Amino acid sequence: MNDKSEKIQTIIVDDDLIIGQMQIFMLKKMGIENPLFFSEGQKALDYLDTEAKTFGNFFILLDLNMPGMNGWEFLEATKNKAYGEKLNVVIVTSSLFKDDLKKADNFPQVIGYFQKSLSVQEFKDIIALHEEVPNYNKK
Amino acid sequence: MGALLDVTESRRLLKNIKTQNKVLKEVAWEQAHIVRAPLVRLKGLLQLLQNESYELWSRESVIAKIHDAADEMDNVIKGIINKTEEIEIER
Repeated sequence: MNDKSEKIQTIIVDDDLIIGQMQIFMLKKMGIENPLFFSEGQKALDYLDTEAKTFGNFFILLDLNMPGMNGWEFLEATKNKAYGEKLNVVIVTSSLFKDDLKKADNFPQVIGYFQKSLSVQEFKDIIALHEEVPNYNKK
Repeated sequence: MGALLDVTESRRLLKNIKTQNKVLKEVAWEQAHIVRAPLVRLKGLLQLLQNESYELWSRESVIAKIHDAADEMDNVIKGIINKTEEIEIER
């Protein structure tokens, strides 16, 4: 009954609490169930280290510039984890640097890249990416 | 003697240019990340106002958050101005 092993867990990682709350609000409004929010990369990593087995896939909205473990370090840290293949990361950054976009190509977990602030259409695009995650139909 | 002085002078200039380049790169990085952080928050909050979407926060609360974001932007910009004024050039 409570088998979540084929479910997709959505996670938001952003040091900006207001942005985080707005993203949770929008994702829920668009039908994403129970998105989790972490204000630090390390906390998200700790969560994945303990919960990775529980879920089939993870859909992660990741900010880049954060104090402590930033988005790049998070991607680097999860790249070679056993659960690395379960991660579907959408970078959501305030950066306008083309170099950041290029750098994202180095990480196979990254399935999307958006510049803040997100319009309603961009949220829809993000939902479309969520629907492409394997096991979506079993969510 | 003359040649020796020329080299010293060009080294000094090169050093200054390198320092200025470093500061310029830092400023560009801060523009991209630090300035835009409160700015994109502000834009998101304005969307809530524009759509009269007050399910998450009341109108008053949204406006208070807009004020905070504007203040934060102001402080970041002041910090950048201070930084560029502090560039020390060896003469």
